[in-house]
Amino acid sequence: MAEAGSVSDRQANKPRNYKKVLRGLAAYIRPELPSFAAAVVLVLLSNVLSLAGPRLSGEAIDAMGVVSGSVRFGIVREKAFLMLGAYIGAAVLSYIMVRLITHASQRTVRRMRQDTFNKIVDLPLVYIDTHQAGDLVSRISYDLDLVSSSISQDIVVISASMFTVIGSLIMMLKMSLTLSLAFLVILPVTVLFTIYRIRKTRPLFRKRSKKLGEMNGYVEEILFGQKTIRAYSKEAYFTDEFRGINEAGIDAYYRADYQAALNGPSVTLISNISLAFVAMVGALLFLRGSFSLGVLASFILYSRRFSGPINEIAGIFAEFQSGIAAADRVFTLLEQPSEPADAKDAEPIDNVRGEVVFDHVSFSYTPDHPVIEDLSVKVKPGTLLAIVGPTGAGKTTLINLLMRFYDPQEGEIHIDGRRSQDITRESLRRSFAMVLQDTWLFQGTVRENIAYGKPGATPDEVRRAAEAAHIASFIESLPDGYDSMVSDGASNLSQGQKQLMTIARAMLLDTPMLILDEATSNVDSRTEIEIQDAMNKLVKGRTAFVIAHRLSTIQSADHILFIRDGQIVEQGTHRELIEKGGVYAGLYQAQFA
Amino acid sequence: MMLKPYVKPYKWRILVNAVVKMSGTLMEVVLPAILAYIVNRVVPARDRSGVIVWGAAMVVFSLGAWILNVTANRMASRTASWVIQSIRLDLFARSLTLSARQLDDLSVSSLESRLTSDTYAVHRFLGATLRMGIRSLFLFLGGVFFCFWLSWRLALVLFLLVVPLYFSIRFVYRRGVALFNAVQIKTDRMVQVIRENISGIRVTRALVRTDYEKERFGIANEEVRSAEVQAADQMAMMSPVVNVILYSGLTAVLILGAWLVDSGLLQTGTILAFISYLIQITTSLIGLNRMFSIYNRAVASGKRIAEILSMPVDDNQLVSEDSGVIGEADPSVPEIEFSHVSFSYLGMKKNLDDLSFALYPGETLGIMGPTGSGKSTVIRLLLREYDVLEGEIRIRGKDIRTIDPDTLHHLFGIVFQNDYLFGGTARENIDFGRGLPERSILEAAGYAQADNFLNEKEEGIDFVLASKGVNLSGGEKQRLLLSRALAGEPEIIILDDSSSALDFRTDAKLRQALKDHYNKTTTIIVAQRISSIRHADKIIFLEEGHMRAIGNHEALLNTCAAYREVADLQMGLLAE
Repeated sequence: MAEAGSVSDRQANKPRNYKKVLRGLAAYIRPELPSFAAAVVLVLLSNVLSLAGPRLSGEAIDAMGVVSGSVRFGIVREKAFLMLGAYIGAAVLSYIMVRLITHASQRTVRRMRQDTFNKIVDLPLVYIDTHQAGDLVSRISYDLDLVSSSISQDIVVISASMFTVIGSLIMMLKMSLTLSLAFLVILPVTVLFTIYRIRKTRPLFRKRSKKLGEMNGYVEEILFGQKTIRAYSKEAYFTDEFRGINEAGIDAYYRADYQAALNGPSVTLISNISLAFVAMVGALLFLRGSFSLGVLASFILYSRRFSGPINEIAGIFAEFQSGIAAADRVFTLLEQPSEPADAKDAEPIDNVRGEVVFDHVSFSYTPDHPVIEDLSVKVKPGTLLAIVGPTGAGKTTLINLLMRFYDPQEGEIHIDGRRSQDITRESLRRSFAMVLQDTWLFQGTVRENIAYGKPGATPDEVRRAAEAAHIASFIESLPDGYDSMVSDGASNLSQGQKQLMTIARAMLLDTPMLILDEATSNVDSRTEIEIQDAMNKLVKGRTAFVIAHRLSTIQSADHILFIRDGQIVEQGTHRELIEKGGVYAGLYQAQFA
Repeated sequence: MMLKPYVKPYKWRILVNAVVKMSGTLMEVVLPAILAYIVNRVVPARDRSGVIVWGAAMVVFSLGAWILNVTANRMASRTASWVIQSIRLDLFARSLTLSARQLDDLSVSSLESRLTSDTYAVHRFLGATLRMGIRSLFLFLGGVFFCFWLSWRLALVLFLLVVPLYFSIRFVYRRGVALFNAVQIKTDRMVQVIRENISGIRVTRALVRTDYEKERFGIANEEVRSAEVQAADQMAMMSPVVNVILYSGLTAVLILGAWLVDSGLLQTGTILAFISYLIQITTSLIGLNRMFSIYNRAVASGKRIAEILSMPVDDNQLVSEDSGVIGEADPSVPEIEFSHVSFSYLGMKKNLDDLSFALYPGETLGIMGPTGSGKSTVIRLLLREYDVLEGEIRIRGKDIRTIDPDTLHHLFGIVFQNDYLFGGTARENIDFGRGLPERSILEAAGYAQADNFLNEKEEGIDFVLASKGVNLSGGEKQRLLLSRALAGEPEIIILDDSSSALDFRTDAKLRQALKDHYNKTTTIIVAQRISSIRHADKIIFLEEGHMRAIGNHEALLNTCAAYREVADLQMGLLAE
């Protein structure tokens, strides 16, 4: 629920640059300009029609007179039906308008969502690694939702309200200047009051969503650890802690509600008091013979139309602001540079032999913490290189550099003698198969997941890969076999089964180079024995980079790299390193201590 | 609803609240009637002071309505929040005490949404009933009443109006709600694609599938758009439909009114008031319908909440009559004894079958076996998260079903597989609400090898963890969890696959610390690495719920082929 929490924080930061954001929005809206123009015309027409309504009903009332028997039926009927016609016309026009706008704004937002997503998947990895996934997701789901409602509703409501307010005002002024003044006394009060209320309640609502976000976060966290809490018999302790958090949430909710409780009745009060004023002044004017009963009736109807939108505009304006702020956040993301393009003279690599050279490579994620320092190593084609070292030594970083998820600050990596920067990323990455500790599966069928790296794979190829990874019999025991869905978060598979599927995915690719980053950490030893054979086949003849904790895997490597603090401390074969009696040997013995 | 007991203490308050709201609403409802009176009676009498008096009366009624409505709304908010506060607290407390089986059946995420969005829905409903519900109801009733009071003949138009209005509003809403649900489902799907792409960005790039992912998102994106448009189009119907019906009614009022005025049965001023009431009735119907949808939502949520609150204490949480204190550890009595234990999670396949072993005080037991062989199940049964199907588990000679759960749990220091850390300081995570002395927290952190990484942090032991410890590496997390288990002088230590993320050197240091400082403590270690358990007094090798072998490392190497295979694989040296 971190998202709910951050919603309020984000509402807090106001857009830095209105003009820039509006320009950006305008660029997205431009293709829909005809729709928006048509909508404005429709709003105008519909308002003209519905503004005629009160006058027509007033004229109908006037045609009745105030004494019985003096009704001019023809006129009443004519005016009444004209009124109905006007209203129906207005309703139809505004319906068409609303549809035009929602369709146009949904198309606009769809384009924005797509661009935002494309940006996310094109971002350099450093951006993804340093930003929370929830934050990126909320750009598309939450922020663009706000933008969408700003485009579709706010623009419509604001323009419609403007027309209504101005139209009603003109009609009222035309009917009676005095009565209009009696009514308009209220106007400044209304406007000031609304602004004041918004100022007063908004921070309270912000605080409320923050507190509720915190509560949600707490609940999620605690429930996740329910079994542990029970194992330590600490239910009462955490319930007590929740008591305070619950109360804070309830309190913030109530405080916001307490203030908001004033808003609805106050709006009604203002409109009722203006009704009373209009009734009083109107009746007095009527007695002076300044105008008819029908005019009074029309006037009252106009005044009611007038005060509604005024309140609405104030509310909508606040929403519009948060829509702009949301758009600003989206544009800020869109402005991020994508992963830099390949060098102009970069060329694809093929028929890779698999010779890899790290030549004085240095790299750091942040300027002051070097992760890899002046590292050099040469890997001959077809060899298995094991990378060993404590957590945080830079093992995974080497893989990141190899795959060009990141580029080194100093030094170069050569593949088959070519600088990796001179090779197109696409062809470079295609020459690797990779199995990571994080088993990544997406919602889709088992088959789609295994064949993910090789879209055209035949069912037979998929099955063979699954067999090699020792997951075929499990898959075939599922009700839908290879067409079974891997569900949300793949909770229907065990960690080990997930990993076997990613191994199958790698087995399906026939690449000259291979990366195994803790690839069997979730597989138990027995299963590992079973897939050992397949893994051996997979590794055979390929240049393989293996990060592992199990010494048996490491032992069989052609070359072992022991790294610590980004530097190679020792290297050699298992036997060489044991004989040397250094850190590796110490580590090895620690296993049997 | 089933949550009545929570509302009951406030019934008088709610009654007062309802009366206040009703009075406030009725004061508003009177206004158009006063207007009609001014036009029909006061004006023809040319009574100028009367106009002022009745006009002032309108202002007074408006103010009265304002005061009463604000008061009622505030009362409603207060009451609703009190009710929800106690519901949510009880729900939380009950959620924490649910048995493992109940929790498995419900799933954590379902429980979470009951505590959050479901309580919000009920909250909104309680508040809205006392505010909008009562208001809409009395705007409607008052409107209808005054229409009849002003002119029962003209009021007959209402019949032509109300029924079609009611049904068309319902119809549009119902279909709208269904379509909005569809939007939600499509949005969830789209969000999932985004999440998958962020978490799998290395894989999609490595396999050069970025363009394919863009297309995949494009499909999900288009589905959201199309669902949104459908829902919006449906809701766009509401306003024109309501308006057409309302204004048809107005037309009827004008024409019928003219006829009545002509026959002397009605005064023209009344028509004015009548029009106001018609508009009022229409708004109140829209309001009532919104209430219905809030109500429907709240009933569903209320049921889900009540389901948890009324969930009976699970069988495995009951303690048999003959419960009493358990004694101190006795070297001649097994500290832990499993006797012919069988167990099944789902009642189909046996997850543990006829397991027997005894562990004496100070001994260490290692448990190994493939994934799904029942290793963790042994632990779960020992903690009485589930009750055995057959057989008996004894601690110090007493069946654990006769030991009070708190007493039972106080014996253990435990780390589960994928155990959890919460947002807070390292100290709080180790202490875990037990109020342990500083010394034992720091000592435990030292034994668990957590002190070296904590010392590197500026805040040391007060280093603040993000929720679920996401700002720590896997190894760091495990070291904190181990600290938690070792702190508080446990009599039995249970470590379920809790050192898998430690590198060999740290793992070795941890084992040394256990040996030096906890050699009197009975210990159970579930592990994948042979090195973690090879020095245990007893090792059990499990396979598909059956105990394949028991003995020490050397014995198992000789008697258990499967164990030897694993050992060969992990420690190659011995095979050479």
